[in-house]
Amino acid sequence: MLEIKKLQKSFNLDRDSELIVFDQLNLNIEANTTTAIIGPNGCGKTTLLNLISGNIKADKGNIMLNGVDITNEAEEKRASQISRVHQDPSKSVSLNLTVLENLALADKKGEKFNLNKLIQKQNKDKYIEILKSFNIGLENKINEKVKFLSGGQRQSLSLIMACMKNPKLLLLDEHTAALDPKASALVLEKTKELIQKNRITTLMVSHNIRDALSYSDRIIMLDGGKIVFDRPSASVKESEIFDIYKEKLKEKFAS
Amino acid sequence: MINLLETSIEQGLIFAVLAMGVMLTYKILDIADLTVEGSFSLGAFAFAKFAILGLNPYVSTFLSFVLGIFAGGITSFLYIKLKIKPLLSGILTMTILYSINLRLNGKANVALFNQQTLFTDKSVILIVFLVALIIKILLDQFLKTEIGYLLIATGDNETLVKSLGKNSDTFKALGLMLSNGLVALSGSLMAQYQGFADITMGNAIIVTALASVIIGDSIRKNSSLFKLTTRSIFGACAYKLIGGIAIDLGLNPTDLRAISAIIVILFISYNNFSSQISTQIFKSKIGGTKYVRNKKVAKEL
Repeated sequence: MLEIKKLQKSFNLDRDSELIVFDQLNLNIEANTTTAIIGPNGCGKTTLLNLISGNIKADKGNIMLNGVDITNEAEEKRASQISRVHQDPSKSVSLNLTVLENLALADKKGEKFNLNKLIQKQNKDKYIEILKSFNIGLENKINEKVKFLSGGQRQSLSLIMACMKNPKLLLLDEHTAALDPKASALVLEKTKELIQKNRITTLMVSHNIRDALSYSDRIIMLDGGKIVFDRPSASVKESEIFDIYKEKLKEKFAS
Repeated sequence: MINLLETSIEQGLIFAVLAMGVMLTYKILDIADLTVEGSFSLGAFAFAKFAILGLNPYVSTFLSFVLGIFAGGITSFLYIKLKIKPLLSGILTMTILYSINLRLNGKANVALFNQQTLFTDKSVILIVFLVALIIKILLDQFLKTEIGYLLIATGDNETLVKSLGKNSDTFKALGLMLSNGLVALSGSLMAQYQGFADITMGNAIIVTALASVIIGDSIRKNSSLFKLTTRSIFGACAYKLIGGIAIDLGLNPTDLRAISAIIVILFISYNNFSSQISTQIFKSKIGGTKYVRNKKVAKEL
């Protein structure tokens, strides 16, 4: 489904501050699976998502989606197949527009925008149904501006918007990190529901190892731009991951 | 007094067109576009040029709108393609336009008293009211369309626009061009109204426009009943009325600019601190409980 071949990315090339994030990274993601990516800060998790979504360009290597090379496609072009939910609850929505207007925009994703009215009456019921099925009370707030919603509600809306047009690949960039534990648990549950219902291939970056293990099929640990751990989530115990982290910390302090 | 009211509203409605244009960039795209200083006089000089060439006033007015769109196009090119900061892009275009405006008619002041204008033998207030109303209705309709919403979303969150599969630069350019078109149209109306085009008429016009937008914004601040366009129109009329009264009371017209700037400073700073002020009043009433009512971030104004 998603194939990353010999990916290379560095920042500030040829300067003192040169930073090689990825050197010859290879990664294969199977269709209809959820893969969690964990790793310490600066290991390249977000950079990887940025490269896949096209927010930044790779130096070398290929990114293939369903056998098509998308390495040189612009971000907005990839967006028709790849959806992303950001860590910041205000980054995937328009705060000054209402819930309804945001949904209507997401419903036009990847299509041609012209001078028709955005909010069509016949679609309104459809949006309310979607919100109802999510069951967090957003259907009563459709005319509320998104800036008045809580972080959890915003992230739920972001998720609905990201999955509205059934993307081939969903990127979740620590999408519950900015939420309190209760909201975080709710959003994760809803994420799982949506992914299973629509059979979306998902890449999930997380700092929370417990969440990463319980909501994924496969878990990958990145460190220094390399895959240091890669196993089916069901076979991994939390303690194993903690032990690896401890080892890494020891190495760090020893050097 | 009636006379003062009438001229204030006439001029206010002309400035309402300007304010609606600036509202597009300042409120919706969140860009302070200084191109307007040049495109306002561009509209005036373009009208003068076409009128003297003998063109129909309707056509001349429309052509000045089109030229304004081009002026916005220059700024968009500098900003989007050459990656120059929007503030500087505006200043550069404004500087270019200064020379172009002088070139157009070969002089810095062109009299239009002998030319046919939109207002010849007609009620000024009716014409300007119709123009402002038509533009308001068209803009309101436009902002409800798919493209209109993308324009709003571009000012709000570019990441979202990209994730919808669109290039946000297109919509920035669209906003800047439309905005400057309206500003030039307003300049052309102003030249016809006062009977001459002058190179200084665009000076500090951004402050006038911002003052109008900001005054309009503070009318029933949290009510969603008033659209941005309506606010701009009322703001421009209120601004002109305040200015008219100030001059009537014996203020020197040349002092008006300082007053405008002070109005802008007062309103913006009030909006930035209003939440704190109301909290303090609230606090003293119910004794020590701290309420955070920060509904609007400072950046929005």
